[in-house]
Amino acid sequence: MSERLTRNLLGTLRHDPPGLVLLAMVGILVALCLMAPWITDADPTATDFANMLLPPGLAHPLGTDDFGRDVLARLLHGGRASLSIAAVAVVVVMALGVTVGIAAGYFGGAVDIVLTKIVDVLLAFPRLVLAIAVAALMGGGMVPLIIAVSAVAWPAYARIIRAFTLQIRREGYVLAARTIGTPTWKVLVHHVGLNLLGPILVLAMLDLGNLILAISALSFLGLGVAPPRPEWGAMLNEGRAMMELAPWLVLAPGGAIFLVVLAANYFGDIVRDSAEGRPVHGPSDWLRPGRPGARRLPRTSVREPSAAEQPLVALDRVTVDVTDPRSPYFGRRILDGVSVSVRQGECVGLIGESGSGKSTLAALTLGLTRRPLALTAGSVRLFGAGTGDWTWDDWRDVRGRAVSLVSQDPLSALNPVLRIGEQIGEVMAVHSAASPEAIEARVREIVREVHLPESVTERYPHELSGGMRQRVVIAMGLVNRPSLLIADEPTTALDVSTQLRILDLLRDLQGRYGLGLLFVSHDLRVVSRVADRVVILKEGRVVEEGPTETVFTTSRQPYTRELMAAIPGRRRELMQATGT
Amino acid sequence: MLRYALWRAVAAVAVLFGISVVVFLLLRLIPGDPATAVLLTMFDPGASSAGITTADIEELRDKLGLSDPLHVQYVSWLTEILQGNLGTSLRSRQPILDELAQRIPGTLMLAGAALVVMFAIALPSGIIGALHAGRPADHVTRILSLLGESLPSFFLGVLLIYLFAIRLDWLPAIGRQGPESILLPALTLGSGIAATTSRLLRASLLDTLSQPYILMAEAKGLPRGRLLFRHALRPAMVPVLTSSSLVAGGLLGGAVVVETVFAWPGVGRYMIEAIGGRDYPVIQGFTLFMAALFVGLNYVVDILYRFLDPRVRVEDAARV
Repeated sequence: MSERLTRNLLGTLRHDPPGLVLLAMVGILVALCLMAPWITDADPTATDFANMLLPPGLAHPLGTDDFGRDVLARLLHGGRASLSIAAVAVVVVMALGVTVGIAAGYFGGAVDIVLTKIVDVLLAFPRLVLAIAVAALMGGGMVPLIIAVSAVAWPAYARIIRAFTLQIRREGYVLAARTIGTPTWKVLVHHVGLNLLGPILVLAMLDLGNLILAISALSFLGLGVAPPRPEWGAMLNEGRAMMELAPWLVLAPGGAIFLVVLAANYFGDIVRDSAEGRPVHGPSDWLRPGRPGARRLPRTSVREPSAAEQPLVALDRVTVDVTDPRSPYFGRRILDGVSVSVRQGECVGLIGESGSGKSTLAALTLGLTRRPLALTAGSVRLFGAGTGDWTWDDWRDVRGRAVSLVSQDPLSALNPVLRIGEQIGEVMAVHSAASPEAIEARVREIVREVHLPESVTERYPHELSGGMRQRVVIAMGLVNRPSLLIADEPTTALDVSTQLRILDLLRDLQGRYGLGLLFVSHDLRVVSRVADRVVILKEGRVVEEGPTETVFTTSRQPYTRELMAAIPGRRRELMQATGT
Repeated sequence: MLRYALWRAVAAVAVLFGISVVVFLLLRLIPGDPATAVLLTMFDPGASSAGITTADIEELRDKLGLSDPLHVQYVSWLTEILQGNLGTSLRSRQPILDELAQRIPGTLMLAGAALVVMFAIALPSGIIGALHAGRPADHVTRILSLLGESLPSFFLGVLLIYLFAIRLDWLPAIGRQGPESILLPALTLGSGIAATTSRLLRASLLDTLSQPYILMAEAKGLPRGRLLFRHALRPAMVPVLTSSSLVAGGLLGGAVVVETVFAWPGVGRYMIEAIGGRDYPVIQGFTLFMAALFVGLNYVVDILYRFLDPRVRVEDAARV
């Protein structure tokens, strides 16, 4: 793990000039601090009242303070103190955190309980408050400072390391080592400790910035190195009284702390990203507000169709490709010249196995095609109007009003924190000027129509079963009496008896609302139960289409026959016997 | 719900008990003998122990109960605490609880204003970062939050004083002289913790936006504002609220530093003054007080969280 991490890190850094510059600057600063006595021969504590508060110049590159002491010398010597305190603190924190974490995780039982309770109690303090109290009671100074900062930082590590250890303990090789009688300390060091090295280093990197901040805050409060010896936080505190006359007294130590913490945080960020990954692109189109001058369609052009002969939706030789070069599937063709149309009152079944492009097709009819996919050829006509130049707002206007979606997984299609009533009602509220009372009445009506109790509107999605949730999704789709419903695998996530009931409901509602229904499924049995006409899709192309009965009884297409053969035998006989 | 609240309250009391033990033991960190230290402070802070006789020390040891075994000392100390007696300040001879109570409004006011600043920064930057993930706007907010995270609050505070009070003379540098004097301290305290919250919100919002229910909400034809604020932001705030103990800890600890920089009258400055005067009972009382406040805040957040996310309520009902 740590090897891959290092590689990622180096790879990231190579393409990150600002990061390299930042690291170089901090590297130089740290080197200068470590070599302070050789860089400047000024004594950081020697007072010279003849040269007080001199601005930066040749003799004193960073000026002098109110005791005439050279600020550069104090900065570099002070840096030695600050950085060595931080280094020691990191080591102490890691040693304590790792030891306690491994002990608690590996031995479990009473040891775990006692150690975990101690960690819990220490974590219940505000970190900086406890550190200040510890340092203050111990009287301040370098050692108390290290103890104070470490005492409040280690519990968080112990907790994380304990969780890691619990995981590793159950791995096969650790169990094996224990079974053959390897001494405990050897198991701990070789098998547990070495495996934790990667995570430990990552943690140390992530928290280094915080540690340095805490150390300098305590010194700023006068709890660090005793004066007159220099230290960055303390220098800043001493300098602020003179700030009006000599701002360099504050800027030099403050800038130094800022630079080091910034580098630590920046580095920590890169480490975190290479360990966890960072989402490359955010969501999509709807976030960009419509261009102010963009042409809005007159609403009348996307009204319901006037005549039955006009298809509700007509896809004409549509081709969809993966057009985002960052996608691993770049260049792949998802749909290849597919034509499908749905008329009023008609149910078209779209059949295909996973990866055949059927869900992409369903998304196309709602204008929901998203990166990395894009429509590259062909056209989508909705209610007789071409959609090629529709903006997001044009699509928004028809979605949920004239064309609705019932999606695959009812468990994830509903917002977990909103009540069912609101989720159904809002579809009506955003598409019409209906009064709240009218909306409420319609919500109650549609809930009854999908055979749910009215009380369901007061519930949250997690309180309902899968079948009930799918009924809610159907109710959301139909509340505005659309003329076209796209059902994308609406029964796949449900158990068999619920599937049948949802299918019957859909067919029943289709008749009642005179819906055009595009029914997408991989399951021939399901499609045969509802569809008037079927389209069979394979690898993005239409293999066969025709009236359901014709296709199912007389198909000569090898792929269709293959699909039919895949239906479990007895169900197929049953299907033929009932004539569906 | 009520059962959950009670159950969490019992857990919080258990943690408070642990905290009291730690705070009690803190006094043992004082180098040398506590009685000597107290006497030194009372008679002449900074003086040597030359003028104090062994008899004085013995007398004080008995008076303070320091001759008793440790657990007896703890029990009598805890009994006092439970009766609302945090002890007496060595310098002012006033009850510590009264002195804290006088100053806590200042700190709460500062923390509240800092929270407002934090949300004013973190909400827009977290939302912009998520909506424009990978695009220039995201990088800008990311760099800003990195800078905010790395700038020590005491340095930022001093810089703000230099710019707005000394150079521009727009705002008072220190103290509480009018309503506008809270601006600089609140900005200093709030911007530091804003970075963490913004980062969390960005990650959480990105995760929410990729959920199927957001696509479904889009398919329902909802307008942008409703998609973002009603459907995406509310679930996205749940993990942000869960981590609010980080924020609360940062506020309480940061308040000590910021109150020192701006000479803001609050409990943090009281603590720093006590440290200067080696007023050990105050240091101890303050630490206990802040830890209890922190536990209380986390308890309230924990209960509030259950209102924000209805899913957890059911889990609790199943668990408790």
